[in-house]
Amino acid sequence: MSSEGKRVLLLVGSPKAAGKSASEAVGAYVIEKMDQRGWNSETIFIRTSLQSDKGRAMLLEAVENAYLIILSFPLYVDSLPAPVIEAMELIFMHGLEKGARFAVIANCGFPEAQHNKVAMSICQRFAHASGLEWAGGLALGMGGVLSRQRLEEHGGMVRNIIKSLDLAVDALVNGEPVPNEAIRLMAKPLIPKWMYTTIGNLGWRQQAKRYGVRKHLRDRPYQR
Amino acid sequence: MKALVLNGVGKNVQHLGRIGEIVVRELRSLQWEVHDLVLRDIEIAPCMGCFGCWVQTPGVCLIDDDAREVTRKIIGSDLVVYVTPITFGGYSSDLKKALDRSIGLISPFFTRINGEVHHRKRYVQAAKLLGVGFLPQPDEESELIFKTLIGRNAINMHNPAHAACVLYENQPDPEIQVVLQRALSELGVTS
Repeated sequence: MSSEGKRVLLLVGSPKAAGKSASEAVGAYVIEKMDQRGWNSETIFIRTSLQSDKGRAMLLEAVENAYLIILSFPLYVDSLPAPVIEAMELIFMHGLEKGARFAVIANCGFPEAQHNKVAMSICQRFAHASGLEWAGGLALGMGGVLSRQRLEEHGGMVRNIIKSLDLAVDALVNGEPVPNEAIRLMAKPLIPKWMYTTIGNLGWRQQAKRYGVRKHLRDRPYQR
Repeated sequence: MKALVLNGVGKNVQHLGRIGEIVVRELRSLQWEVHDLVLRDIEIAPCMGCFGCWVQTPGVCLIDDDAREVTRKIIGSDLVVYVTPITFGGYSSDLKKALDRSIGLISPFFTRINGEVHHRKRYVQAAKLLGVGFLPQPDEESELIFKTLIGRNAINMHNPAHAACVLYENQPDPEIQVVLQRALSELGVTS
């Protein structure tokens, strides 16, 4: 079955500006691969789209017209960022005439990909409630290291992410769900866990130093 | 003792506001001082994911709106109650917006809890957490997701105790009261 000319919609769930998030970097890789396979792609940044009636209308129209929707988002407090939930509420209330296929890519700043599990269940529930066809999800830990705009620029560290996304793209263009091997590869740590937490803790201190608040990192401004 | 009720009832389900009222009434009957916040009525912008509350103004969000006061009230309470329509298993966007903006209550530094990496405490003592979710009718899968989410939040936000209960749209008030009383008792919330 040829998938050429089909529409894929990337929904970027990070509230960060364009070009600044791991969610966009990972999603953009998928979209680029699908473009190469002859798909027509569109990318929407959820937080921005919710800021106006026009943006909301465009979001709903894009969802209506998509054959495949890919939501790429960061984990916020064990779940999806509030604007993503708001978009889900909007889509659900609007009601879809035809159900697109729906796949998600979750990333979190903890080293373990398993933190994304509840958020993944919420996405699946949303798909079920909204009449979308659940095509599976990938969950990534250590998202904090994906600071560059293009995924490939991170070199060998992201080899398993790339392999996982390639497998997922192969499956999705053929109308199949995200394969288990892609899920397994995506969940593999990018670097040893101890190294990630050590670098992370050092990074917080360095960033605080830049703002002149290194000695205040443990402050309790709302202590009763 | 102080309780904060974060009511995430959105504009589309206003008729379910009575559940928040019953929660408040139950706590007041136990002689608790209750602050009831209907989140759709206050101004809270979404979190921008900048981590400014960790590395720029530690403990305080850079965005100056009502979320700062909500955060102050969360840490100043002995019990925090999340009241929310269960939304695909999770919280409503109104409640989630307030919670996303409250991560300054924990430290950016990593620690291990039960072998898993989480963020360290910022404050010595967090409030107990009660999740009160409601649904149009029973839905086992959504209820399980909701209860798991409350448990995960309690680990990450260092709540010393947590409980979750699920209520249904057509449940009569006395039944709702019984379910709430059971959950409060589970948390050791007494007069």
